[in-house]
Amino acid sequence: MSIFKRSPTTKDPRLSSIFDVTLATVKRNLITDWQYKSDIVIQFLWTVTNLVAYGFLGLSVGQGTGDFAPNYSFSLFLLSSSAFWTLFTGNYEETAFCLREEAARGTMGYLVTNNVDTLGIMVGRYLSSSIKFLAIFLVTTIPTFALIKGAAGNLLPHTAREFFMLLPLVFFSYLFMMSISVIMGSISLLVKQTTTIVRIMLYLIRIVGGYFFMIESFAAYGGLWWLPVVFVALPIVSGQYAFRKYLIEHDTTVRFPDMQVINDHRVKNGFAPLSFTGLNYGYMLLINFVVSCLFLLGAFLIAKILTQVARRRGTIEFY
Amino acid sequence: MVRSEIIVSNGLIKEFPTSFTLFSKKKTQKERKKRVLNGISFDLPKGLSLALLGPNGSGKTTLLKTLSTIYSPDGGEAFVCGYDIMKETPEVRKRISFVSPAMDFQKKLTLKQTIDFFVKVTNGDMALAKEFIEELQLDHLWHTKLETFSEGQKAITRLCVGLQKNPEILFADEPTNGIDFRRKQVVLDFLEKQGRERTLVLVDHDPEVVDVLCDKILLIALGGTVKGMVDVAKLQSEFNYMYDIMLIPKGTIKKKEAEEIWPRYEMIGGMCRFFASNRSEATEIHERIIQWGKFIDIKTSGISIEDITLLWLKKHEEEFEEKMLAER
Repeated sequence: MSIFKRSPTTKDPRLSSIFDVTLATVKRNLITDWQYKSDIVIQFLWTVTNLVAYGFLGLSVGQGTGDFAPNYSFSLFLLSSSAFWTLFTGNYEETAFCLREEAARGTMGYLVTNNVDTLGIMVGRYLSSSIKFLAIFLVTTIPTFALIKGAAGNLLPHTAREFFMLLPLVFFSYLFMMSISVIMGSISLLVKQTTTIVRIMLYLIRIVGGYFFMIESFAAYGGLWWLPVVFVALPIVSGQYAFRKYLIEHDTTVRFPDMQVINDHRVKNGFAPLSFTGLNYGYMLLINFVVSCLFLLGAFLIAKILTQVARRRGTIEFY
Repeated sequence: MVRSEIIVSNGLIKEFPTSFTLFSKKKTQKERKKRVLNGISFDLPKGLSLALLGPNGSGKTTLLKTLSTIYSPDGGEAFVCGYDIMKETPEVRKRISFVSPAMDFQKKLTLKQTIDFFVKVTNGDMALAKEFIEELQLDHLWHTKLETFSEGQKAITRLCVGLQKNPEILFADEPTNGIDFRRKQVVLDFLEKQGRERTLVLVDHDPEVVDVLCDKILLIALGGTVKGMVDVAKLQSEFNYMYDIMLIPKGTIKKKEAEEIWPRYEMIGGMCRFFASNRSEATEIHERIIQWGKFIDIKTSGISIEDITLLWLKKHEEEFEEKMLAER
């Protein structure tokens, strides 16, 4: 049948589902990302630079001596942070800026008029970027970890148990960071210069997540012993915590957070000892699941609301 | 509620915030907003296509984007394909498509990969897209990356993306912008045939595009109000002009003198503007002005479709006022 003879009304109109949009976006982004090979090489080099820089920073500090210092080299501590965040930094940033890129390409108006969910676009970007950065993680961190084997310990899992206990926590970390990425991406529908705010958010999560120091350190201030407990309930924080405990200390019986460290410090400072001994793995998984769901729901609502506000304010196509 | 008109707009209002500044001196809501559409009302019967015309900044593109649900209105109501654009937005979006000249694509993707993406996210029809691309002789570029495409080829790709969904209404902002002369004819022929099947709502200053594709013109004035709605056929029969010749006289030109030079004219202040339907008429007007001799300068230009519409409205001013009074 010729296109000229086909009436628009002969086909029952149906909108694409968010899953169709997500899948199409993942496919498009993977093809496009693969075309920009130089960009992948730059991202690879950037990851290696980070690992080297943090490795040497840790070496220059040596073994920490503070009350909340890890009982292994600071080099390992920072290397594990840098390695863990290789999985979540690039995909977070690319997702947070993806709607701005659509607007800059001039496709936002078309997508909106076709009821294409901005959430699907962002989730699609997050998934495709996650695949890319997982590949970069595997290529950069495993050789690095293998290289430092013997010299400073072994960051690769020793047992299948360590590996399989880590997997769900990393999965929930992915979900959590996806929701944060979607929230930041949705903000770009209203505020166009989001580079700074996206980086501030990343920095804040890293601080809270124990990228630079042990999360138990938060208990050093007055009666804030509960602060590490609250923070560790965030999947990205418990993911980082487990990554370090399982792969550096090879301790799968660890509780989140380590209240012994906090109690020792409190006793030293004359505080009453606590009856709370930290969360075990099972509770942590349950909390991670609930918190991830809540954040995803929040991100979904925020994306919907901000899309409506952007339509009202007329900023949906601006970049 | 299902209506017989394809588009109905009743007092549509759209305002944009003037700034996001936290420490703005503008205190009231009214001060912080700029009204771009100020009560746009019109009906477009089914089977007809519409051109939105008006000076820059009058709100044509804003109206196009509001009707196509990119922007949500701040007042009034509008029905597209019988559905309320505010309350039944998904139903409207199932039936429309929007094409803008600002729309660009991932340059590293091929034409096929690009179309494939848009077909999937809009639940479109790949077969329709292929037919369109073949019809416009772009099928040899099917596996070529868009980074090598000319502006005209991109314009065709945009139209293909807009039409692959087989919409009831295609909202388009300057759809033939950037397309070379030969392909423009092909695209116009194609859209003209499409116009029989679907409604086109265009923003375009090109008289040829409006003439070929549209049945009605909605003229919007600065300030976002409707100046009038005109039938293109009536317009063309009464004002079939292609050129205007602006005469700047030494001193003033009298009406009688102007009439003697050429009967179709308009006095603008001390100047006079003559209208010609073709090239030979324009040459004749030039010769007559030179013969008359009392002038400083003559300027000839192609006449815009807005000008012709304004002339038509001016001629039919009384008729319009009566009609509007009757409607009130």
